Amino acid sequence: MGHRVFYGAWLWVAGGLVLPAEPTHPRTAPESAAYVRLWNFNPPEGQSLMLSEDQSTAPPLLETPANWVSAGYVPVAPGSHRLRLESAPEDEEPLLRCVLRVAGGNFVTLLVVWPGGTPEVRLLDETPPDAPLTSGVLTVRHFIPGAAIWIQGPGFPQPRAIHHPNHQTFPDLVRGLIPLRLKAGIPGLARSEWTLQADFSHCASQTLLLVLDPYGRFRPRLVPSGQCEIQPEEPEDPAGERAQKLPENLAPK
Amino acid sequence: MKKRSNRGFSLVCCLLLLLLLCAGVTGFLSSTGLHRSAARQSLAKSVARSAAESAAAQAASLLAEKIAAAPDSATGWQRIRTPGTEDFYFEGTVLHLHPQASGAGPLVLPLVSRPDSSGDLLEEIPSSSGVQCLGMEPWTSANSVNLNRPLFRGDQQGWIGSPETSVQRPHPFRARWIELRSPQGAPPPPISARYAFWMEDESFRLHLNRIQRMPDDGTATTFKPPTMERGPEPHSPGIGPEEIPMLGLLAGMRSIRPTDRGPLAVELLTLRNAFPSGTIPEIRSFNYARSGRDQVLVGDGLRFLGTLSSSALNLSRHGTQRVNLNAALGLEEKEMDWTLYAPPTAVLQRQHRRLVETIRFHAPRFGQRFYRTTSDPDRESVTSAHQEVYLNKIAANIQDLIDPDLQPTLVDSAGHIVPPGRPEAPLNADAPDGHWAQGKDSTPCLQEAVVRLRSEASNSRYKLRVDYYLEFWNPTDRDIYVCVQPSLNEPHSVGPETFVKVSNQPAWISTPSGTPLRSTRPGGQAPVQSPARDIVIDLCSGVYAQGKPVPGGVCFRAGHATVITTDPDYLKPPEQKKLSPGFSGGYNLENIYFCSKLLKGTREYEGPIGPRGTAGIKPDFRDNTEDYDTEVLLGNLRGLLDSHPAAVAMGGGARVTRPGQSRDDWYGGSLLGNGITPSQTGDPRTNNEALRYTRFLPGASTTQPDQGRYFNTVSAPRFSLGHPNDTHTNPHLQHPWPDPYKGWNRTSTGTAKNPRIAPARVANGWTGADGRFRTGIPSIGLLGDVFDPARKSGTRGSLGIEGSRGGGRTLRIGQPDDLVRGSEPRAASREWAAWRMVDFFATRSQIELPGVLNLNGISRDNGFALRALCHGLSLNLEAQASRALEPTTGLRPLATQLPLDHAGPGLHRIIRDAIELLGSRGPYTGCFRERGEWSELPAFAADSETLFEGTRTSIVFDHAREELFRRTVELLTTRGNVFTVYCVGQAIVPPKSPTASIQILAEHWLKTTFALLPMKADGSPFGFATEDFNPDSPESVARRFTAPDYYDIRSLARSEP
Repeated sequence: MGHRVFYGAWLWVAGGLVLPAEPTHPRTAPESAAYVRLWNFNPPEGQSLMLSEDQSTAPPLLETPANWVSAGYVPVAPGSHRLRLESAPEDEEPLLRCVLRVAGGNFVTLLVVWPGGTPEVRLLDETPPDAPLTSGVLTVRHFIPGAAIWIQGPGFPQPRAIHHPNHQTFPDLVRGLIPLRLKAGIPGLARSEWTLQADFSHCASQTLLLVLDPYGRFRPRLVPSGQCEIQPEEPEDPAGERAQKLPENLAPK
Repeated sequence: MKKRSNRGFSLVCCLLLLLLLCAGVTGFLSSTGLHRSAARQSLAKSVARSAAESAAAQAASLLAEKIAAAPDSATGWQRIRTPGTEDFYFEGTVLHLHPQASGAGPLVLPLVSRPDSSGDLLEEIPSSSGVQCLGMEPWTSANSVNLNRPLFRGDQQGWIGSPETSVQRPHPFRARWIELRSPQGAPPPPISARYAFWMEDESFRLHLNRIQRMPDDGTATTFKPPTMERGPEPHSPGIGPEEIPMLGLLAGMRSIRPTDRGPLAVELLTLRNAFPSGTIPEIRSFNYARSGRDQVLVGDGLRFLGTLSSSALNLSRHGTQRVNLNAALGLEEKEMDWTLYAPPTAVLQRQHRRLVETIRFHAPRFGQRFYRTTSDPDRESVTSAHQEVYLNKIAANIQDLIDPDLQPTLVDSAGHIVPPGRPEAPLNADAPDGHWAQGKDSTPCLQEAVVRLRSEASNSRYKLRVDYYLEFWNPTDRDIYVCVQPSLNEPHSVGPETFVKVSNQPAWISTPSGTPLRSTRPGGQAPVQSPARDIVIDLCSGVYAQGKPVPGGVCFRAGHATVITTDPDYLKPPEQKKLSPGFSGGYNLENIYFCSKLLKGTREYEGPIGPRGTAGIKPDFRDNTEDYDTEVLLGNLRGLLDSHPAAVAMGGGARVTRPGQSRDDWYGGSLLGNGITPSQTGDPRTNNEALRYTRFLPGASTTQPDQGRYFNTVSAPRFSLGHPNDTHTNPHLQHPWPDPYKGWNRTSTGTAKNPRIAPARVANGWTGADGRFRTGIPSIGLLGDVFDPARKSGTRGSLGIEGSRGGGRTLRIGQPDDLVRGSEPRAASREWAAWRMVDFFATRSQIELPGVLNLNGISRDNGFALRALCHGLSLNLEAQASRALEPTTGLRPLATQLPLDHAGPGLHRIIRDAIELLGSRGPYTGCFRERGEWSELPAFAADSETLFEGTRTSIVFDHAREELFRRTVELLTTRGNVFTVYCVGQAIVPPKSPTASIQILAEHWLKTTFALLPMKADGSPFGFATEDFNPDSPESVARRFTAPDYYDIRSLARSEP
């Protein structure tokens, strides 16, 4: 993960260049589409965000409420996109404008952060490398202001506190199920703990979002980074034909 | 005149005088001799009496000294034969001592006189030395005496009494002579006297003045007639010798005709009541009883079997007074309004800590039961942190078993009781700092949850209805109500303002990228993840069942699954027909409650599909972390009753995919009862140990198949809402408990069963035969109903330990404990055996327990006393004789009087087992060391018909064997504190040559009965009437758990033959 060369995705924001905060991967052969998602953490007053093609009346490309960790990738055509970020469709003036240049097969996340109450967009390039990863990579992103988080798990170094808004990458993890134990010192909350299992067997690169849930509880979320061998969705089974046939004495009453 | 001579006269006179003188001298000499003889005899008699008195005093002081030094000691009955002889042997009471020093083996002290090589009284010697404990010389008629020789011609009983099975009448009980030397005389001082004594623990016998005794508290009318057969619990909980029927005593006496026993029992009780204070002064008083016209010498027949004074001390093996659980929890058997029970948290905290510290003191490694990491049962493998968690879990469960409320005790990770308050969030296994313990009380358990999603979509709009069906199982034997029912006496209501809360519902999205749905109205509620969508259901008001209002609120029926639904359409037949075809299990309307106070907006939504909503709408299940799962909580104003952090773990993609489409989807899951690793082994009986759901639909289900006893099949969307689910056997069960239990409240055909055999029998107090409710528990055997959080170790897996509920299975008390090596009396694992708790916990505070029976004397009378004790017991049976679907249930009388060689089931199997276990070849070397060890009888786990015909104890669903234990353990001990010494002293003249015989000058026989009373060093009686020690003060704990400093000897009776 030592690459610092920015190749696949570019982002210009309001005339300025925002360099990607993340290491990137060399681009492979172009795919048919690039994939973009939008994260919006800790906005003031909890406003939602919409990302639209600038100068277009089409429905927004991406729409994300505050702290919406489930925001997924949306396919976009390779090339340059002039984008408009706004908090509501009826706003006359967008929050900012930017140019996103992506190649086919790119996976990028547009992370909106709010230092001083004004939005900044950061580009996270999550494009997977050419060769399949033989080990897992966990990127920890910290979105709880004032909190210190410690992570323990197999293959993890001696835990050291991660402070907001830092992030940290843990490479060389086993491609399998890894139990993680997190401890958090959060202002205003009792010392919190959380455990979860990160499954790297299907998805080698994942992001651990250190966030509070809508109830204000420490609930870290694990989300895939880039393309994963995602299980196909279950086909519909309107007739219930997959129900196992039971022995007679076990049949339902 | 010739003078006549008077010499003749003088001669005659002289002769007469001489004669008179001789007569006088002879008389004098004779009188002197007589006086000398009388004086000598008196002296000899005095010496003999002194010798006998010495024997009695020596026996008593020896015993007092030994018991004070070895509180762990137990008395037993043993027969030791002198090598090479048939007629000379010792038979009687022995004191087993178990030195605490490591490596030291058990010692045995026969309570009989026997000299060592120097002629002094022999002390205890290692049990392994066998006959050496009788002394170095073989016993002969010259050096031993039979203390039970006939008192008159034709006497069959002797002084001590004779066992009915004895061939020799009277049965000999021998003791060795201890010789006493005169203080005067040239050295070596001559032998002038000798004595012998034979001592018996009176707790081997039945207390004739205590059995079937009317209570003195004016409740005599509650007792049945003297010929009574005992009723089921709780009419006869087995808490005192008063419950032992007189008929049981007579039933074991062969000399009495069966037809005479009933009338004779009446006669004996009448006779006893005729004496002052209703007690007979001596056993022979029973000889006055008549059966019809015949006088029956019952008293003589009972000389060996009965006693007029026996008791045991309420002490643990440490010698400390057992902790009265009822008092420690402030619930000492009293009548109270259970609805007012709400002690302050500080009080509960102190009670909780008292239990923890009591266990820690008496069994410091008790926490080794929890989360073991090794298969070696004797190896210590549990971390100290986990041991601490376990102690807190057990203590919480004990509190909840006994206290009269139905509120589970919550203990946080600092060991503090969580104060009362309305709960907001469920406990979560993934947040292990949350709680150490959630006690097991009489609360319904969440076991199945289903969500019904009805969705419609047009080109631009959606409509959505989200309804929940939450199934709670009441595994207890009593109906649980939400609201207080005025007609009910016992605790039955879970508390004020009980509610179900559904929170953290998943959001709905309109695009694969996760665009959330919006509401139509500005500011309206959209189906996003938000506390504003939480559903709170009042279970007390606005409740409907089968279309009719239920003013009393929800009732969770004993043994039934009760469904709480938010769906107002659940009753309509057309709706049932429209159910999803995948809904194959159906549901049971009888147990479904609809709670109507649900507002539109918390379960119904509508709005625009979204700017890019081309794929319809669907719930957002894409996150692979559990927090997206819906949380369900059952609680009230006092706290949490049950909860689950992820009640509906849904997978798949219920959605409306095209305009104009509508769907009616059902998703759900049921709790994992067992996991796929040993650490996840839950309890098939209660199915409520696990904290996660399995899914019905494909996805995680293949890797985490439903291990619940009441299962739903993998990959099959199969529900059985409102059905007990208990007639199915889960083919996926990988770590089943040894009890292949099938069903408990209903058979597969729906036949109702006895709810008293419920798996989760939480006492919450008890109601006696008089119908009055009392707090506390009557028998310490009820600790067998405490749920055991013990878990095997493995990977943490999906089931956390710290956050787990209070345990799935009940403690193995009254049956062999699978976590210890029960067959090995010295195994290290015995320290953490479940049955250890009945050694240091009790249900009463009095220091002396009159009339209890010593288990270790079972070979003395071949179980006569135990048979009498159990006479008339009928036990609740739940058993599975074979693979049949239908279990055998019902109240069955226990056969108590069958002979030991009988092949059929009954109490004799238990007696036979105990005799073998305690025999010379048995592993217990003569004694149980504590009353809980009775649980380890192989008969309680035998794969044969042990107790009842057609059932095997190994798969008896606990209750019969546990009930037998429960109803006898309060009457059992391993050592009494009242002893009788039978002594004989002789004044003797030793033989002058080896061929000459000993000359016995006088003999004195003395029987003295005495009690050993524990005392403090300052001379005050030992004992704790209350349990008010401060568990947080080491000094206070140490003060509470001290042993008596010495034992006072109180003489109770003295007599001569």
